[in-house]
Amino acid sequence: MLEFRKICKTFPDGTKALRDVDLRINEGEFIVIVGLSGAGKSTLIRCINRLVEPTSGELLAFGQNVTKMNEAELRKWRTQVGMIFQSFNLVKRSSVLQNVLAGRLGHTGTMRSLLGMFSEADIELAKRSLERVGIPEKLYNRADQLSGGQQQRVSIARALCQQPRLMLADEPVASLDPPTSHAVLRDLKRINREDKITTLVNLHFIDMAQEYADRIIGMRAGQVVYDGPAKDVDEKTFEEIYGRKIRPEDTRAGAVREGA
Amino acid sequence: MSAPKENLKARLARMGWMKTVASLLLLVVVYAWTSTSLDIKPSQFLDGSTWRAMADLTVRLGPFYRVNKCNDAHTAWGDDEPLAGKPNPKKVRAVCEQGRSQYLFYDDYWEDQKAFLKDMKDPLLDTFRMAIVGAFFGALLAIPFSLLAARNLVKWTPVYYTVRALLNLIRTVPDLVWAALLTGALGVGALPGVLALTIFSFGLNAKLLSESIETIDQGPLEAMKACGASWIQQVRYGVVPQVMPQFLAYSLYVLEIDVRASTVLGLVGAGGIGVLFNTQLTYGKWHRVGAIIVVMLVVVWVMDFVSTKVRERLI
Amino acid sequence: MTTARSTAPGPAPLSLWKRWAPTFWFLVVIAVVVWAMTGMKSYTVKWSEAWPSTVNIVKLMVRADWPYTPTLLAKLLETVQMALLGTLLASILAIPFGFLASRNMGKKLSGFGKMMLNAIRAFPEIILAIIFIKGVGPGPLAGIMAMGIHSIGMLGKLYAESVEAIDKGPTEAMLSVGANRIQQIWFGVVPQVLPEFSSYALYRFEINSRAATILGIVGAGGIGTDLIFAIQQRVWSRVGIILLGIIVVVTAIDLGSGWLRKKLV
Repeated sequence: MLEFRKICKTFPDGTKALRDVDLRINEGEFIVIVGLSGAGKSTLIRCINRLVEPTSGELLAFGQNVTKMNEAELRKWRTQVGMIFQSFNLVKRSSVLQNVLAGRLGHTGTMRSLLGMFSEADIELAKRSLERVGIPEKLYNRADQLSGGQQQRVSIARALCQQPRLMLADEPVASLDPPTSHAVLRDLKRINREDKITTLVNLHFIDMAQEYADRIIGMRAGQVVYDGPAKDVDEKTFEEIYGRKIRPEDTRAGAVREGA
Repeated sequence: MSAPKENLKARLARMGWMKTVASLLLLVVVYAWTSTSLDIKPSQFLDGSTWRAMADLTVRLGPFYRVNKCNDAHTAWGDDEPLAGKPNPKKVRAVCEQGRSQYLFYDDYWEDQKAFLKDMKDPLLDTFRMAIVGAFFGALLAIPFSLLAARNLVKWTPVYYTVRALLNLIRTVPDLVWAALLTGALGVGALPGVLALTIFSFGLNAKLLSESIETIDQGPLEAMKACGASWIQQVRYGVVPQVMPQFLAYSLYVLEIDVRASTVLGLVGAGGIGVLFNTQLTYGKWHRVGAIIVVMLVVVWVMDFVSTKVRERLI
Repeated sequence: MTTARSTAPGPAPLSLWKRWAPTFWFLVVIAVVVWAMTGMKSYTVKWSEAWPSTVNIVKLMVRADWPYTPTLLAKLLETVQMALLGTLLASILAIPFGFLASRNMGKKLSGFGKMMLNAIRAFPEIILAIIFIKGVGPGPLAGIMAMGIHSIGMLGKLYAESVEAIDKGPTEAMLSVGANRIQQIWFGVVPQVLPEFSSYALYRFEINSRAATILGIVGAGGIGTDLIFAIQQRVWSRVGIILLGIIVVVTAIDLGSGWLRKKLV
C-alpha cells in the first residue's frame, strides 16, 4: 500500500541522496531502516510526506500518487502521516496539551485554530493520546519542563492525535539514554500492534533494529542494499549493509526496563 | 490517574499564554484611552482635517508654497534678504484672484537653497564638533567610573552601589533635558550642548563598559593577585587588554548616538544645526526646514554606515 | 614536518605599520578632538562666570517648589500615558512589519521591508513631533503619533531579527502534521517570538517614557512643556521638583519593566 517507484533525489549542491529506490511496504508492518549517516535514511522517510521533494520517480500511497499531489491534497495526506523527529520539535513554551492538539491542525479550520477553539472531541482525543503514551498527568505542564524521554512521548502523542494511517520516526532515540530509548521504541511497537498503523523507523543502532523490527531495510549511499525479515538478519548482514566491520557505537546496549 | 484538578493556575495555563496577555493589554488600552486628560478625539481622524493638514505641511517642506487668500501676508517676507525664497507676486496675484487654494513652485528655490547651504555649513560643523568632544570626554570620564561600577572589581560594596546609583540617575535624565537645563544655566550656545553630550555619553558609556567588565575572564586577575600585583596593576594588565576592543566599539556607538542627539540639541538653543532649524521654523520658511531635515537624515545615515563599518573591523 | 628546533629562526619582526598603528590612530583621534574644541566659536559665557552661576542654580533647585506637586503629578501621569499608548500602538503595528522584513518570508520582500524600516528609524522623533504638531495641534496626540511611528521602525527591526533567529524545528513539525501556512506561523513561530516581542516592547516603553518628557519640550504634551517654561522663566525651584518627578517616574518604570522582562525570559 506504500510503493516507491524509482525514487531519486539529488540536492542542489550535487549530492545524490537517493538513487532509484524501489520499495513496497505493506499495511501494519513495523519496519526499521538502517544505514550509516548520509546513507539516505532521513531523505527516504521525508519523501513520504514530501518534506523533501523527490527529483524523479513516483510514490504511491493507499492508491494515491503522492508525488503528483497539489498543495491542498498534500496537506490532507500529511494529516494521515504522523512524524516524530530526533529533536522532538515541540513548541517549548507551550503546554503539553497545546503541543498534542497541534496534531489536529490539519483537521481544524484556520480561524478556529487561531482562536484556539478546538472541539471537545479533539481535546478528549488529545487526553487519550497522552494516556496511551503513559504521561496523562503532564497535560498542563510547559513542554520544556519535561525530560527528553517524556518530550518524545508528547511527540508521539501528537502524532497519535492525528489518527494517522502511517507513522514515520526519524532517529527518534538518538538524543535519549538507553533505557529511555527502549521505552520509546516499545511504545512505538505497541501502537503499531494495537492500532495496526504502518510504522517506519530510522535507526542506526543495529541491536535495537533486530529487537523491534518485523522487517529491516538497509541503505548505503542512497540505495537499498538489503530488504528482508528481521529474523534473517545477523551481524554479517549489517557488515554488508555498512560496508565495514561493526563497531561498538553501532549498538545501543541498555537494560530493557519499565518506565522512563 | 486521569485529569488533574483545575485550579486557577491550571485554568490560566489552559486559557493559554496568548489569551491572558491579550486580555491584559485590552484592559490597559481601555484605561489609557478613557483617561480624560489626554483629550483625544477620534473624530478628527475621520473627517480628514488632520490628514489634510499634514499633507499640506509635507508639501510645503518641499519647493512649494501655498496661496489661498489675496492678503499681503505671503508676499511680504523679509524684502531685505537677497534670496529669501520669495513668492512670485505676479503668479500669486494671478492665482489668488481665482479664489481657490493652490500650491506654486518657488522660482528661486535652487538659488535660495544653495545660499542656505552655505549658511548651514558652520552649524553643521558645530554639530559634529559637539558630538566629537562630548563623546571623547564622556568616554574618558567613563573609564574610572565603570571600573568602580563593576561588581567583580570593587571589594567595598557601598562604593559599587553609590556609583551604580549615580550612573542610573544620570541616565534617567534624557539628553535634551540636560541640554535645556545647561542652556538655562549657561546661556545659549555650543558650550551647554557639549556639556550635555558629555554627561549623556559618560552615563551611557560607563554603563556599557561596566557590564562588559563584569563578564571578563577572572583567571588572569587571580594569577596576578597571586604574584602580588596591586589593584591598579591588575586592572591595567588584566582588565584593560580584555575590554579594549569593546571599549572602542562602545565609544564609537556612543559617538553615533551623540551625532543623532546633537542634531536636535539646537532646538533648545544648545548649538548646532538645531538652532538653524528653530529659527527657520519660527520664520515659517518651511522649504528651508525641509532642507534641514534632509541634511539631518543624510548625516545620520552616513554616521550609521561609517560607524557600523568601523565597528565590524574592531570585532 | 621538520623539527629543527635550535636552528629555527626567531619570530618574524612586526612590520613597521603594525607596531605604530595604535599610536597613529590615537594621535589622529587627539587631533580630531583638538580641532573640534578649538573650532567652536559660539561661547557666550566665560568659564569664570559659569561655575558660580551653576552652583547658585543648583542651590535654588534643591529648594523644591512643593505646592506645585498636584500639577506635577497630573502632568507626569499624562506623560506616562503618552508613552504607554505610543508604545502599545507601535508594538502591535510593528508585528506585520517585523514579519515582512524577516528573511524567512522571502528575500526581495524582506529587503524592501528592511529599507522601509530603516527609513522610518532615521527620522528623529522630535522632528516627527513638530510635524505632527502642525497636523493635529499641540498636545499629547502629536507626541503619541511621533513616538508611535518611530517605535514602529525600531521595534520592527528587532522583531525581524527575532523571527529570523527562531528554531525551525516546531515549524517543521507543523508542516508534517498538515497545517496550512497561517497555522504553521501561528503555532510554530508565534509562541517562540512572542516573549521576545514583549520584552522588546517593554524596553521600548522604558525608552519612550524618557522620550515623552523630551517631546513635551517642543510642545507635544506632557511634563516637558512645564519644564521648558520653568527654565525659561528661571523658576529654579520648580525646575528642581520637575526633575525630581521625572527621575522618580523613569526609575520606577525602569525597575518595573526590568522585573517584568526577567519574568518573560
